[in-house]
Amino acid sequence: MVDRLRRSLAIGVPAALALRPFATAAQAPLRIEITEGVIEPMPFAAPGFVPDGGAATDVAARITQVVIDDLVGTGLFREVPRSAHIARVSSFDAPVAFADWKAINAQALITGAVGVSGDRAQVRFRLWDVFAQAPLGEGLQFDGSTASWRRLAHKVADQVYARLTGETGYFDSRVAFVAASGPKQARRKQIGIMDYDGANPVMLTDGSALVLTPRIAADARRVLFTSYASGAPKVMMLEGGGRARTVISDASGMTFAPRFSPNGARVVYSRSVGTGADLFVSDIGGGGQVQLTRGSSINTAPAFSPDGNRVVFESDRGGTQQLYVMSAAGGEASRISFGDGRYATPVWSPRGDMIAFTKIAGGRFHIGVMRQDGSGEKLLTGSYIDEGPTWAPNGRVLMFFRESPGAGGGPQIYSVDITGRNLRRVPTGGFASDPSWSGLLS
Amino acid sequence: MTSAHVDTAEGGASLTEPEKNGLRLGVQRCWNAPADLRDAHELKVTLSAELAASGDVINASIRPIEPLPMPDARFQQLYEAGRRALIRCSPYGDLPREKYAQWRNIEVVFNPEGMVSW
Repeated sequence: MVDRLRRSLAIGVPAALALRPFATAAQAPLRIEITEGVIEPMPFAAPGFVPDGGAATDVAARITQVVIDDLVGTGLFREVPRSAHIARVSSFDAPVAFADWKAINAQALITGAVGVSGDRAQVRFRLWDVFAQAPLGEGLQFDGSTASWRRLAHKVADQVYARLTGETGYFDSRVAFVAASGPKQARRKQIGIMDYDGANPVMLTDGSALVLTPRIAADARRVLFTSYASGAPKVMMLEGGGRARTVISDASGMTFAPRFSPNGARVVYSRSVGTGADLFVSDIGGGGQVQLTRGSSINTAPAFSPDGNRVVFESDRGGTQQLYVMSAAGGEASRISFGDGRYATPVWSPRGDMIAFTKIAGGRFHIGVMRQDGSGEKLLTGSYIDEGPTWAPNGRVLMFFRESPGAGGGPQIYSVDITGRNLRRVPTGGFASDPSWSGLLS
Repeated sequence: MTSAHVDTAEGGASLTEPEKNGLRLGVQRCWNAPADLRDAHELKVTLSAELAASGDVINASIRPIEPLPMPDARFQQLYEAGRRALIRCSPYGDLPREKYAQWRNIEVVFNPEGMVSW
């Protein structure tokens, strides 16, 4: 209404006459610029989601806790503990007592409700800006099987994360990994798959053959890996929860270090050729094979760019192990790593702007990131052995594995954010290595 | 630090730099800038607000004014963090009452360029 009125005035009165009185009388706004602030996790409150009936009580409590754990685990948010809450939320549709939440300095508030009907569960939630006393976005609802209550919780947390950070979340995702057991010199290794937070682990292989480098497809429906079941390394693929296996390439020689293309239709991998190894691309059935590199050097650990047009890999063609980028159709490769030491296992960020890698320098292993042209190198971690980075679906967090020394030592999976903060161990039960992170699940 | 007092259009003395700085510091201490903002050097939002004579910010008056429309969700998130900062640290009671006309309407630029980014 106001806009319409202003427009009619501007049209009906000559501009010079209409504007002059205001130009002299109006006080210009006072303008200030804020360039510094406090950097601390944002405090939020998540009172228990309200169960719609007794059957939902347990699930509602568990979903609430997973939402809290997801958010706190990012290092970006801090939960105001329930013991500090003044207000009690007993109905999803009850008015929010903003003053009570403001009093405990909760900047964001998550309210929710959970219903259970048979084997189905439904979760509704709303996110509030406590100080603005306003909803942050629309309320949302997710439905699923009761057994998949953790996924429902992850989906809620993904939405909250996105609304509060402006980035997509990464909680509703899965990670393939190698589970290791037994003595250090005779490890039994299995390909496993788990939720991003280590929950719901499932073994996909039985441990009868050595398996390495699992690589999960973006939709988490397939896993590539290197198997020694035949004695020599071969690229294999698991589908349908591990029930089917397909040899990705039956070419003679050893094949290893596979990676899916972003759309899951192609595979890039290494194949031994003479005394070296070259890169090949094929479709997932093994057809349409294209050789990308030729020479006597070792070219391995290839990974696609997010658009599928380029490949980053490691090669010793220059005398030391360094990172190179080339077209996924073949052609010349450009070296992108130039720092001290050796570089390995590069993997492109899903956002396309960064490449993560393992760096070996000064007798230590590091996980680092650099821009796709090799500039801006930054080391995020360092230890006896840190290796094998993999990106979260939003390109903000990395997982990798850290090997501890000594007879009782072994690998464990860790996560770290792209600034090098918030280092956390991912709970896996036993030893675990070679994480490979899927995209967000649909 | 001294500041020259310059008459405003209404004939009153203008806000001194320490007075402006006091407001800036008042907002700054409540600006919980989004941690790990991606490409912070690309981000800057300006919002406008009206203050009551008591120094309280009038919540309903807070508006984003630049950039509009917001290019992506990060700007919206930065705007919301700025809005929270303004409200949380209100009232700004140190502002001189006799110069109310000069600080009644404010524009605040939130510029995270120098802060942690990825």
